[in-house]
Amino acid sequence: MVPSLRSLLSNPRLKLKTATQILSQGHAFSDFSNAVGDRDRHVHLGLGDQGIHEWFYQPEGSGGYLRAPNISTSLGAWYPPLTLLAGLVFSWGRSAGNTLTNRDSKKILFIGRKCWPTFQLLAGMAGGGTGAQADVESLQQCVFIHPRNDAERFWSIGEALRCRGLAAIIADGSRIPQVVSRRLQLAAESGGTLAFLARPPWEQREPSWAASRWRVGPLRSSEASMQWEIERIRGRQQGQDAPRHFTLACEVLSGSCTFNLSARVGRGTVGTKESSARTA
Amino acid sequence: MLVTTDARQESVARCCVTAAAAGVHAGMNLAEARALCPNASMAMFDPARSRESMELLARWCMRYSPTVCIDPTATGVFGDGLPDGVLLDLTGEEHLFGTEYLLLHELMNKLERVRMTARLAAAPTLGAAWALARFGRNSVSVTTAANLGAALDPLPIMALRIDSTVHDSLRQVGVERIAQLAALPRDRLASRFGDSLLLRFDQLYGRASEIIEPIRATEPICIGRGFDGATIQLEALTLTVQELLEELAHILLCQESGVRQLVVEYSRIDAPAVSREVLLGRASRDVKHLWSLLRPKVEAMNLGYGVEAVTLKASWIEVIKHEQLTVWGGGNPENDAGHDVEHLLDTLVNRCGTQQVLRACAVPSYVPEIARQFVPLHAKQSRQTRCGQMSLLFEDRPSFLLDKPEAVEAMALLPDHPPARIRWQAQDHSIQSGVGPERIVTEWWEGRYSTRDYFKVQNEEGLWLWVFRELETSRWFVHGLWV
Repeated sequence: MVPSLRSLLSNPRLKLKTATQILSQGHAFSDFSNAVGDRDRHVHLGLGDQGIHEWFYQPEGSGGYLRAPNISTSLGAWYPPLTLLAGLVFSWGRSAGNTLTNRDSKKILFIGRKCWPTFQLLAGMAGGGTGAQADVESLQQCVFIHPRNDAERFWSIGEALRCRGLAAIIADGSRIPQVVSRRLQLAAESGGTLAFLARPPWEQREPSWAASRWRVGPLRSSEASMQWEIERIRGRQQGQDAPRHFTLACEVLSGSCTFNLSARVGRGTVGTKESSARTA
Repeated sequence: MLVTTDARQESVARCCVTAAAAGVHAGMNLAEARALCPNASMAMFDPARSRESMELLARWCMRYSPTVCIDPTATGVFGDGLPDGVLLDLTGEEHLFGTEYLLLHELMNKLERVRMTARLAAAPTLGAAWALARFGRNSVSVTTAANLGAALDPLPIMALRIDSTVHDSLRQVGVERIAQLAALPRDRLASRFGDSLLLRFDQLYGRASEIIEPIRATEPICIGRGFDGATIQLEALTLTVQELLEELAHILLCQESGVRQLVVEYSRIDAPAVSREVLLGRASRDVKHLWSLLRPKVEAMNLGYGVEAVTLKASWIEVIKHEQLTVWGGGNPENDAGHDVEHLLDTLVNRCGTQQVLRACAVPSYVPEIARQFVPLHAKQSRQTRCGQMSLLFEDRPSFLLDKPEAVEAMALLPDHPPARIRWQAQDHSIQSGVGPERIVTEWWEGRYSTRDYFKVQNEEGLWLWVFRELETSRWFVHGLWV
């Protein structure tokens, strides 16, 4: 069992490096997710709340990714942080009380073609890369929905959010109007399903009713261990002292994807409006 | 040519008439077959699909006879245990088409129209028809009881449906034709070659009975209601459909089954009938659920000048397994959640369309765009499809794959090294590190041959890209991202 982050960080004799070592020695992302799912007691990530969580993938200093798609079709392309979202969903599913054992009923919905990950990612995430037949069969848990237009996409997300039997929803949340955002948030609160909406980075300033909003960017890393920096832009019911910045590393050796917390977890800058800028 | 692969070699499993005329036959080494027939297109042989296709053909043949079965003879012409024929009991059917010959001729014409090569034979016994269809001189032959002996005598002993050991034993003593076998003393045949030979011999001439197991045709349940006069009142129509649903649910309950495909049809005056269908992922006879799926479709149907009759047809029925009920009511929460999901998926399929709600189907291929296939969630064969080669699912691949590889301008300092700089989506990316190449060659039998050297490269922002160089054109493409 991973020690709680607060207990680790409040211990003056325990240096941050030690905490990093403890957390990175074989503790998979599910442990982190457990801590997260424990209603924000430790890291204030906000994912334990019922509701929608919006994610923006924005590489550092990428001017092209911030442009709205009005110049040409190729410009303004955006990509959802699928590795992170799929990792969260599957590790959440493996954690206690959220087991995805009933493979027939616990489905994961991927709504919008933009949010369809590769099978290798899903198979790797599903079983932590053990390569067992069960991991491969876990692909059968995933349902991919390709709505023909925005209205159908919003309707599909709403219907899925109201369903109580789903494991999670990962959906394309681009061009979502404020009214629809409110409606979806209410549906999510009533349904209680874990719901992630991936949105393009140029929509960060758009008003939204989501429970939390996150910005994800890649960090320079080795081939075997990719890293992302995560910033909480907004989170409801979270104190000002809650950390805003996180760093995640993903081990991708031999097809397995195991998340580990790195040193900056919990140390994140205290949440003030001025400090919302990303740290280097 | 359909190709099969075993541990040692690739060989031909099935081939068309043109390839057979060039000398190709089942079991031949693939290299040899390609030398004989270099322009033939090839595909992998799928035994399960072959069996399914044969069943489909047998069901289609039920228009000629109510008693149809897939040939149960294990040997088959190809010797791989897969059925290679369909048996029809034509007793009493020939007068519907004039004669037996006309019946077979029409059947042959229809098969040729869909470019299927077949050999047909009608004979007084099942064994004789089997033998003449495979070893007879003509592709369509009709044999009567009077000339049965003359037709069978010149056929090889393989036409007796005997196994290869008995066949080899007979050939060792010089018996190669049925006429030669018929001339031998009967009592010695059983002691030397076993009872199976005599049984097959007797079945050939109708002296021993033979039982076949025909395909069972499932009749779709069709119920309807007519009005005294044409109506355009939506309330009347919706009420009628609801009543029909309840009636249908009662019939299904008696049959211990549920519906997976339901069609509602309005017979309109002065206009063609209009119909809508709903598809379910699991058999159901829950009126409330069925009505929730039908309602949007019924309300949107064009009534024209009025509807005279409403018909409800359950075109796909499946048996529902019995479930244990709890004494105090209230189901298992897990089952309830499962039903919720089933209902949600049914709603999505019927609102968005079957092609819009999909599930993963991993194809065992190294080519990324081929390996990643999606199939409709509620398709008939959908549940039978299994994931392919497992090891391919654990290759290091990006988390996001572009629909089509996007061409980029790239500058590589050395031929077999990752690019130093690429220009993609009107933006320059300076490559900081890279891994590769991983060479992937597209399947040559698919038509387009392409050799790709894939590199995993990281730009200055830390974003990992999956780029490849096509060796034939020396062009660079981005195919995926680790996001």
